[in-house]
Amino acid sequence: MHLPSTWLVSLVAASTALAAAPTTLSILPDDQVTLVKAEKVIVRPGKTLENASVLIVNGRITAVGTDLEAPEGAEVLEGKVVCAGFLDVWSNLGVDGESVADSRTMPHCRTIDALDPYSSGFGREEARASGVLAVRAQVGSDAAFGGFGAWLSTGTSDGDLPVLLDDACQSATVGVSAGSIDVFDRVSQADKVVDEIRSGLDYGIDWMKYREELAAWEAAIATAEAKLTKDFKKAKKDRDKEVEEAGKEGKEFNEKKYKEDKKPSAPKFDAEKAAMERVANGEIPMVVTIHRSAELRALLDGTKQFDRLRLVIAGGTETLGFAEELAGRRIPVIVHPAPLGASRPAHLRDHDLSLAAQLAEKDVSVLIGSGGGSASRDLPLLASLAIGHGLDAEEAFAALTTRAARTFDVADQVGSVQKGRRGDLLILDGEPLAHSTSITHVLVGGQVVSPAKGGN
Amino acid sequence: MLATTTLALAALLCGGPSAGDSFALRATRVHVGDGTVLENAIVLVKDGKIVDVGQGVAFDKDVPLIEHDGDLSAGLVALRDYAGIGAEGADSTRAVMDAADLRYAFDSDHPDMARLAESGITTVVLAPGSGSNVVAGMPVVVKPTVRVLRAKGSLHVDLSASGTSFNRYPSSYAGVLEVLEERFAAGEGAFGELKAGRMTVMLEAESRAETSRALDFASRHKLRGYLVDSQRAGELAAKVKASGLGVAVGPFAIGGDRKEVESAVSLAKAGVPIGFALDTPTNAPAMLRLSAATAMRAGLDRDAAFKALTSGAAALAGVGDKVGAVRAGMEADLVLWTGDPVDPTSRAVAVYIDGDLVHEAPETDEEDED
Repeated sequence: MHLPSTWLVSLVAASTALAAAPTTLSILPDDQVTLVKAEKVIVRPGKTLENASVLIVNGRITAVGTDLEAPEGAEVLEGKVVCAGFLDVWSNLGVDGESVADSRTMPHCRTIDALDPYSSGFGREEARASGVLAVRAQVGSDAAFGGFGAWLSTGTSDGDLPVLLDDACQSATVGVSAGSIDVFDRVSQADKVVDEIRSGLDYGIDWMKYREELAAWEAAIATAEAKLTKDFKKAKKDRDKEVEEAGKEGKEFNEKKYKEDKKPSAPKFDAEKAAMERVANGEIPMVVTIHRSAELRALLDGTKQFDRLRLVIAGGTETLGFAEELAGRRIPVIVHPAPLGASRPAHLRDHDLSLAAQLAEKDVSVLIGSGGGSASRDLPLLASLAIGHGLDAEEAFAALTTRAARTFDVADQVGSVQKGRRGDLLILDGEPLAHSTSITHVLVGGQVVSPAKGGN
Repeated sequence: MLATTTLALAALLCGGPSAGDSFALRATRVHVGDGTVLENAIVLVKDGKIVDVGQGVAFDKDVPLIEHDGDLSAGLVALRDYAGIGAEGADSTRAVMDAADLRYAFDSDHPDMARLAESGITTVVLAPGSGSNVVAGMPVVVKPTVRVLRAKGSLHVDLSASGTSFNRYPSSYAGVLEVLEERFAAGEGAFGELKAGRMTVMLEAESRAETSRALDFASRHKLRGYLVDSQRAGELAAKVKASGLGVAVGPFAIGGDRKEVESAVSLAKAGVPIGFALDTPTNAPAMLRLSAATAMRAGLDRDAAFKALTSGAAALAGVGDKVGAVRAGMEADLVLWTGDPVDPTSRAVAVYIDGDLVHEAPETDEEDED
């Protein structure tokens, strides 16, 4: 994974600051403090603490451990199991519906420009109740290029819509729109994605060249200026003489031209290419919704040239035949394990509920997405269904937490129960994703937002 | 343990009928169907029927015993489905097609039938498609891949707006009622059977108003059977309860209308018998148990969900005396699961219909290790 250096620097700075401030000293009288005690705290998949507590101050986890005392005035909650809230990597909760359905979005469109805090308040409430606390929302979800996706919290439904990350990814679709009639259309759509990434890369190279030329020019000018300053008297004398001679001969005097005078010109700004440059550089992941073999082959072959690209496949009905390559190139696949019947669209004809399990078996990084709309509510149910079709339960849990967060650069905020993360937690009466387990409390920013609903 | 199961099954298949076509199944948990769960119980099967169930069931030593480390239940029942019917189910040329027998649309070899059986669904009610008929025909109850279980037992009656047609009579709700009242008055064919209480109805009504009118209609003619497509029936739970009708709820789509799920829960809580519609090929067979899981997440209790998948649905389909429970005398439609049948994380590893093994899950690496 290629991360921009600024991101790393800020992350290191943040964790250093937290480490430097002892927990006991950071609590002030007006702070909102919650201590969650549990028989088992699932820090992240594979790491659990028995009889441990999580301290949340002003919305952030400040400590996780077995020896934490409740500070004075802290709200204390108790439960059997505590884990991070689930993350839906394929959603559109909180985004204006027209923008989601827009088929003409461009790479530089931004999901955060289409936020509608009032659009799906009920959907977010339901998602929250089922433990889904953040979603990757995407405008133009069926368009050739969707633009920048965003990570949104489902934490509120009263007009406030916290954005966790406003440039979570770029998005494209291949072979799913109405225009993809035959295999040639589909392959050409895959080629188009490759071409756009290429043009983004070239655009970046042009700008890099320009910056180099500009720097060289500036250096040359500086040298020339220094030289001129140094030789000023002689140069002035020479010029005066030349002006005088020209005057005598009745000729026009021409100023001496310096080569360095020609300032390099900047490449023409192109918002689309600038957006794709970030993809080509691996600054943000590129999610491509793609299903069938022909276009998958074209996309995978075409993108081999981009060694910094962070490709993510969504849907991926026929990805099994490419499992080895996907595993080798560390390309995650977002599966949508819905019980679709035989009368589904052509691109989903071979949709198989055991896809998640089969990909995981071949070491492909598997993510699970709800597919959008109010379906975010059913994400844990879809994960259960994937488990019922052979996916390891811990794999499914990882897909809904840490793996989702890491793939989309929000692991510093959500996806695990660790210091510095948001206090977005679930308190459960059993193992996460087990059918018999109920969520007893949902915490967003350390505040209880939703009591358990129903009996299961 | 599972390896033993496989060996025993292989022996059973290769050896052919033995010990008078008897075999015994022992499972860690046997879900009888009346809410009780027997631990380490044995189900004895002879000639396609269950002859005994319990912890201390005795049987001849030459009767093969199949051990299963997991759960055993009766096969699941879907109250409406279109598997393998294709265009057979839709004929909108006439408003009333009371003699159309869906038995003739049953294709036991259709791949969709095998998919149902693989998912542990051993009884389905095949329904005529909604081809804007007031009466589209007689649904048939079948055992996927095997046989017809009950034909001419019920009649589809559409009291929703989809029963009307814009280009032929009746084109209004009032017209639909006129047509039906006329047929009931004449009392011929299936209508006579309905009047005499020998047939039940699959009564289609969608909105709350349609449901209310359908219930009035059913009371007027003393109809028995169940409602389908009535997504808001729960808002009229008391009236549904008083009518004596059941309701086929679902299927509950991923991200679907929450009120529809809550309606189903209200019905169950009011004591209305419910079962689940499945609607393959629009949905995959996994949708049946997923609908139950969705209802459980909305508050339906586990035993009610299980009953709606098995004995409750079998009773509504008019075959409650034959299938839907693990009881002596019932037909041996049995499923071996990896866990609780209502839990979507468990799966069917072996499925029997009439005592014959119709599906066995391929062994996985995990099972090899056991």
